[in-house]
Amino acid sequence: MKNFATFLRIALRYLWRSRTYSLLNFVCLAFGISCSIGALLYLSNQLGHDRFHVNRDRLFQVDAYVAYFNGDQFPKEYLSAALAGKIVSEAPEIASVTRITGTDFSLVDGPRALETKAIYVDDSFFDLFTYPFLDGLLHRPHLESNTVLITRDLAQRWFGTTDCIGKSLLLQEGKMQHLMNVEGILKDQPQPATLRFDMVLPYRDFLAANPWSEEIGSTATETWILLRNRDDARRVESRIRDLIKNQESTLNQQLFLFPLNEKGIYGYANGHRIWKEMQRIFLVGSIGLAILLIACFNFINLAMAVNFKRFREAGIRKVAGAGKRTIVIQFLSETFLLVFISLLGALSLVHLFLPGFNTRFGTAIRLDWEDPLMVAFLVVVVLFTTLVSGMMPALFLASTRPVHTLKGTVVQTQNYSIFRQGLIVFQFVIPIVLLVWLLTIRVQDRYIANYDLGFDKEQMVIWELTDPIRAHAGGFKADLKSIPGIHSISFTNCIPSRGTRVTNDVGWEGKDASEKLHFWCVSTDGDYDKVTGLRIREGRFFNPAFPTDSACYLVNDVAALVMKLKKPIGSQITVEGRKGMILGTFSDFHALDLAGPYVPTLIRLDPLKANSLMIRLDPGVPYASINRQMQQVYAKYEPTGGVQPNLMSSLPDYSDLKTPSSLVGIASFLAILLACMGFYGLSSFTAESRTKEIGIRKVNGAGTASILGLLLRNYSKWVLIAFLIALPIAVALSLVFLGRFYFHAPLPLWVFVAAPLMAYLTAIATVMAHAWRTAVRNPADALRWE
Amino acid sequence: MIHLANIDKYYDSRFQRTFVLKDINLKVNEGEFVSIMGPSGSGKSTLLNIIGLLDQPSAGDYQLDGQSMLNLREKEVVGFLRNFMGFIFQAYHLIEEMTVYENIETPLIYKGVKSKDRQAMIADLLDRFNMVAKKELFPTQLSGGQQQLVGIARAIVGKPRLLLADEPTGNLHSGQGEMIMETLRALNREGMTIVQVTHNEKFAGYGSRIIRLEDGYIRSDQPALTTERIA
Repeated sequence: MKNFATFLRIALRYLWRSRTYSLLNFVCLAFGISCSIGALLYLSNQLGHDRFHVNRDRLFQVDAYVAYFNGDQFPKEYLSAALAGKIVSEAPEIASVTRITGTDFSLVDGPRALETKAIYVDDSFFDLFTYPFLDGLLHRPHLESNTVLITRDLAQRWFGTTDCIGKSLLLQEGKMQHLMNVEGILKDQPQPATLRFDMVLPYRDFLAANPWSEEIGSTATETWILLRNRDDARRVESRIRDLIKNQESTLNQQLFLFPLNEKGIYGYANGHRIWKEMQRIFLVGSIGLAILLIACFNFINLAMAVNFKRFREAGIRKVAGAGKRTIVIQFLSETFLLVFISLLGALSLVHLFLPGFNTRFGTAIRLDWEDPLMVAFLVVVVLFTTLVSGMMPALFLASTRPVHTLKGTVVQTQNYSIFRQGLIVFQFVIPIVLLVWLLTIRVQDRYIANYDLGFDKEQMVIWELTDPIRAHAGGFKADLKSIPGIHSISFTNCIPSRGTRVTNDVGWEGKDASEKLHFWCVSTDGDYDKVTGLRIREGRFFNPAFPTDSACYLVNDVAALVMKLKKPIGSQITVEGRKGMILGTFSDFHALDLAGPYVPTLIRLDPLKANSLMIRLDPGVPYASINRQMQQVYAKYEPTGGVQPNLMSSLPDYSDLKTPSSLVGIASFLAILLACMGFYGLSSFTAESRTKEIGIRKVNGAGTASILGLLLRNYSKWVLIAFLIALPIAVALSLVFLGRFYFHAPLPLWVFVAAPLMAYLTAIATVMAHAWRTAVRNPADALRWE
Repeated sequence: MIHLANIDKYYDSRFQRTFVLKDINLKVNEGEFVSIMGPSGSGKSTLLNIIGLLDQPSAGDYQLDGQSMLNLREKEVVGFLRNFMGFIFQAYHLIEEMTVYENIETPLIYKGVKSKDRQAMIADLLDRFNMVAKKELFPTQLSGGQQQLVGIARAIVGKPRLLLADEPTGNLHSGQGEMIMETLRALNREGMTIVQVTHNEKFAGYGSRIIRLEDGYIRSDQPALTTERIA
């Protein structure tokens, strides 16, 4: 114990004596460790979803593969409500099954309203998913009609108390209202979870209101099963695979089981498991590790530079009878001490930044000290960091030979071995790669933001419709139209690139009955072409002056292709039972986002199905002034206040590049910060240790500029090598990243100049101060030293 | 105790072999106080390092207490350093981050001496060297002579049988040098074998025997006229 106290005292003295380096190391390690902790918290948060379900490993969702128009297969979660019963009778391995359908309701009480998420479930739901009850039905609940279970959170928000069994709730869904009785309170489910809901309703109510849901092939409900044995999944899959096909041969769908464990993390497409959230998990994990490694390498570099002062000490200790192992252990213990202190710093950093991180990324991550995994991870991180950063310098120190180190001046000052240069280079490879990646993401983000959809997003106003506006659509539109500066107006259910309704109920002449292709269906009025700048290839757009046009269609070239129509114009097609003629064809229209290809799209004249209003302004007209006039018109038709319009350019981006962009942004910032801190330490050491050499050079006539050049050339060399190594990695990464988007920016070559240049300039700025001071120092001072 | 036979030490460069020590034959008995003298580059320190197991001879035989010291494993070397020898250096080589007390304590910790015993042993030495009041000071707060006293204290605290001193007075002015040499003589009289390297004729005379090296050879090996006799 006393030995330990002695060790601690002396070690702290060492840290204090070289406090600049200690501080630098502390900051680097604290950042590095906090990144790895942050990454782990994120990972355990994402991977640890639904852990509270006792039956977690035996729970599967029954999904169907649906064939896409281009042959791709995509999973469909919502299937017919009749499926559950059939599946159970086919596969005896299934212990229990439940159907789950989610709906959004407003809770209303006079003027008060609250948006909530509800799920309709079968009674067996609670056999599969083990949600603990706070109050009310303690055993297996049997939900009567018009009864509801609510979460503690909702009870608190709505009633202000959890003591609300027997109270009633008024649910509103569109124009429908249901009065429900609270039968039980559920404990709030721990985040994160696949199923998110505020209340649970009986499935029988859903069936009663939606009799169509039991039709074969309908898109009605999720179906979840609990297997008796998790190993039976394959067998069950093979039993139920063709259940839908056998019922109705036109539905070319195959059932498969999606494990709860993989929900959110993986996806399924074309019969293969693919990475979804896993991509981000992998990204965050590798960034966390990379930054920790940079911090370790900083430590190694600094330690090996600074430790030359300690070779003498190691020699003395050896002469005093210390073995190699003793010296290694001593130095490692000192490293451990610093790492441990850094861990405390890292934990405070995590504590400090976690709330901001959670808000930014919509997560609910927290430091859980009761989680043994967490504690084990911290131990592992500390040991890992200690060994990775401390082992090399310790071995180096321990291999010292007293004969050399005790004989007066120490020989090695400028010993930049290949190994250490490699570390410095590696430290810069990571920030360069990250910067390239970051810039590529930004480029793609801007590409999508500026993509020409046929109109200027800055001059396009999107207004969601409310019931009063729908009721007076014609008058509202005419009044708006009279405002000068408005180019055109259209009611629609499809804002280009933001998706629309999909249907597979399309028929045409010569259609193969087994084909069930999906078509994206735009319902709009006669001005849609003007508003969106639709490119008509053949035929014409709707003309409200011709009443027969309302039974007609426009199709895009992809739709004409998949329907194999030789002469699309004039052909008859039937969409959801409505037969009509194709008036024209159009092309280059993005119904869906730019991540995927053009899809088969139909347009029909059906403004009643619209959910928003697109208002195109004349070029150069300021939105602010038009908006004032539009609001006046709006107030006339929408007395309750309604919703606010938005410029299309201000709508959140579908592609969601913001999250990866800020993750990679933070990571590259930290990486470059750490790398520069290491560089700073190294340069200050170099400045110190080369004082004499530079003094001699100056005495022999070297000017300040040439000395500065000499010092900077050394650093530039490392950044250059780092760039050469980073280049192929960065190119590959950018190509893979861009390749994920069907419509993507060309590989931005300037990025490969800008990123390394940024890294280089930052690095040079970091070392400049030291280099300058060294270069201008009076050689007389430097040489007096001896 | 020390028996060197035909010891060579040389370095090979591409075209020639440079001898530092050539055919050294030397016996030192227990209780002797030997001074090694010679001009710089004559191989004094190398000889001392070979005796102290910090360096290996290129050829020849070295026996310590009848035991061969050639090709020892590192563990065995560490064992000898811990239990058999103490070192004193010209530059004192104290660890600057440690106090006087801690510096003296270091070899005892490596030797595995218990804390209680360590305290007693160090207290004895501090007492003997009149440094009790300075035990909490750091080396840089001491004069050169005092630093070297600490160096001696560290070297002998483990009660080694052989004390090796490499120009122990080289950095000191004569008054302090004499004090150090008196200390060494006292230790020798208590039975400790001492081998010192020195440039100083007078301090060499503190020993019982003077060995003169020149270009790696032993030029002479004679009993010293003790300082007492000179005086």
